Amino acid sequence: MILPSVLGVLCVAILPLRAEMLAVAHAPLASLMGSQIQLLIENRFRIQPNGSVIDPTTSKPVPSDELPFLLQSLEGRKRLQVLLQLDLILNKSEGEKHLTFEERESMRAILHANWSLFNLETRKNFRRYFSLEELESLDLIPLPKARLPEPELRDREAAPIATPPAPAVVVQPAPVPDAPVVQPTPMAAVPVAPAAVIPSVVVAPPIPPITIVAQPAPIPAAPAAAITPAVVVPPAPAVAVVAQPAPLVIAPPPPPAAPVRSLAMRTISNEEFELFLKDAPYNKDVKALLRLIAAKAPFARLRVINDLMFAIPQITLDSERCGLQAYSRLVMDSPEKISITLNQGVFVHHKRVLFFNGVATILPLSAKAPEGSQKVLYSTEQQAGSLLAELLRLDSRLRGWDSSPYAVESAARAAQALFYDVVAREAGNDSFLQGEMKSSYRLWRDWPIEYRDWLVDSLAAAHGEAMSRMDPKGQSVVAESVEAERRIRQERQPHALQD
Amino acid sequence: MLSKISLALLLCAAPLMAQEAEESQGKTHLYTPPSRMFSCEMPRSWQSFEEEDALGSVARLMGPNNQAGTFRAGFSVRWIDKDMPGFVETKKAVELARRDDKALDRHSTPVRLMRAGNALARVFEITQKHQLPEESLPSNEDVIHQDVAVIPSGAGYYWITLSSTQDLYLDYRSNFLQCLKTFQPLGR
Repeated sequence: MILPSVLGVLCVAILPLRAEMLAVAHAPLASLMGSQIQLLIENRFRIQPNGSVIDPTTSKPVPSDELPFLLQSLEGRKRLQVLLQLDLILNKSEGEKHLTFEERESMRAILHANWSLFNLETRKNFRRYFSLEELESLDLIPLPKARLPEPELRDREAAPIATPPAPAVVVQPAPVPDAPVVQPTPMAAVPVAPAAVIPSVVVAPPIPPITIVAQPAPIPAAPAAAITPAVVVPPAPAVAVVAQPAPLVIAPPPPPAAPVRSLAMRTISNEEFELFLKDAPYNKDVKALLRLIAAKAPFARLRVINDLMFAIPQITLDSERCGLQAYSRLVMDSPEKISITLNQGVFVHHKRVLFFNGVATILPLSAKAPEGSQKVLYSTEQQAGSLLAELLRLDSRLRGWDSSPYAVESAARAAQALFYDVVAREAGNDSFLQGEMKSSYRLWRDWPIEYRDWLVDSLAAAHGEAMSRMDPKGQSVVAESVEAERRIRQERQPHALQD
Repeated sequence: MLSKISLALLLCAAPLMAQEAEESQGKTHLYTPPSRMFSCEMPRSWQSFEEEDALGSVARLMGPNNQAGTFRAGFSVRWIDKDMPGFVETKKAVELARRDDKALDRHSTPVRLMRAGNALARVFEITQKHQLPEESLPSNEDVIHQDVAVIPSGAGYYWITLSSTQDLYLDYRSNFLQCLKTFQPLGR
């Protein structure tokens, strides 16, 4: 009598657990393509009859929310492997225009078997290996991007955020009792005793970009205005608001804590930014990069800091997640779901020709580097520059000036080059830059006309007809970057046109 | 007899030559940017636009991609005015541009003088290695080749560049020469 009831209780207890396990472990196999299943099998993952995927290293099922990322990682590696195989055939041949029948057929076989791994650009490059009929069937294979979305990965060292992120909700670096009260329109300024800066928490009127108050940085930041009375604009009503007890949310000592997360540009003091960083969900390395940007970026500093404090994107240093991006990668599924990944370095392989180092090939750290490859790790300053460029690209998406990819890249590269210039001048050398980034910076510094031509021609290869398109918003940001660059070149060397 | 054969050959070749000239004429056109900075013969199919960058105004024409799809051939024409901040006079600007750099594997050729429209241009070439594609992996080293012509005009000068990857620069050499031959400064 007792036994059935005990068994019954046990069943009732176990069933939810089992359901939960199934929910965790069961992968959405039905949504996977045959090539993806094949990829899993090739990498020794076991697919169970119930649909779960077993990791060969841990022997545990892969959680369903991690499966898309796993697949993208495997696809990236496989794609690299395939490209290296193709490169090997081409290197052994007399040239792509003089392939033998066997070489050409090998290329075709490899391309055909792995067509699903290639994006549009790569497919365009290899279309000439196939006939029209073959291309008709190959074009039916979906592009890699059309597959499962990448899950959000949490930073392992993230510090807990005091309040959950929400667009119109008060976000305090220090916990505030009545946090969500602050409205966008009323200027609930910080009444705090420390006399310091009282930045108007103005959300309604968009303030033009203004340089940071009390900024120790050597170079004036925004080209639009210097430290002008715009900073002082609303303090009178703000003070009045301060006198009212009820709507005042910001009690704590930190002076200009940003009570409202908003995209409107406002002045942010160093103290406020430090307070933000203290509780921000970034590890110490990322915080060091952000501090470097805040201290030294001569252009777009205010813009990117405002964006950072608004969007709080996930920022990590992870070469594997960067995939095939040499320096950084931005993924923005929505304004609430943004991740920036920075590459830590690359492999450099010199293909020897007789006794000389011939052509250099750069490979990702996740690749199996050929023998004799050299691992090159990026310095903190170089990574900070890449992060600055990526934050400006993020700015273009948040503020809606990304319809012209040329404008975005132009402004991002200008911000990066100007940042490196400041760092190099302070250090007295550019040894913190490696490889192509060093070449690119020196070209910018010493041969600016040539740099500009090289940049435009390499961007044009990627963006095609979109090169000539420039919307007004993009144009104004580019104009700011042009102004900043002109000013810095004039400051550096009066006759700096060609030197 | 021989002269008759020669004449016959010449008569046969004439229509072919005319056709070739007509074809090449169809491939280029007289290009004048919206700012009316200059005019010259440029390839008809190349995409053109003007922009303002930190160094001044520049007219650009974008040609085809290289085979790897990592770099696009392109013309750029700048007007360097003596009143611009940081102005460097022609001869010094050419010397600075031709400076070699071993660390960057950058080299230049000697300067030649060539007629460009009604002026005399200083023409030289520059090669430098770059990684292409520049921001994605894997990337390979490639040599970028530039044909440069500096054409004085009044107190300033035009700076004309044709950039491409080295494996293709000879394909566009005739476009560069045609541009120089037909170059006319406007409004200077």
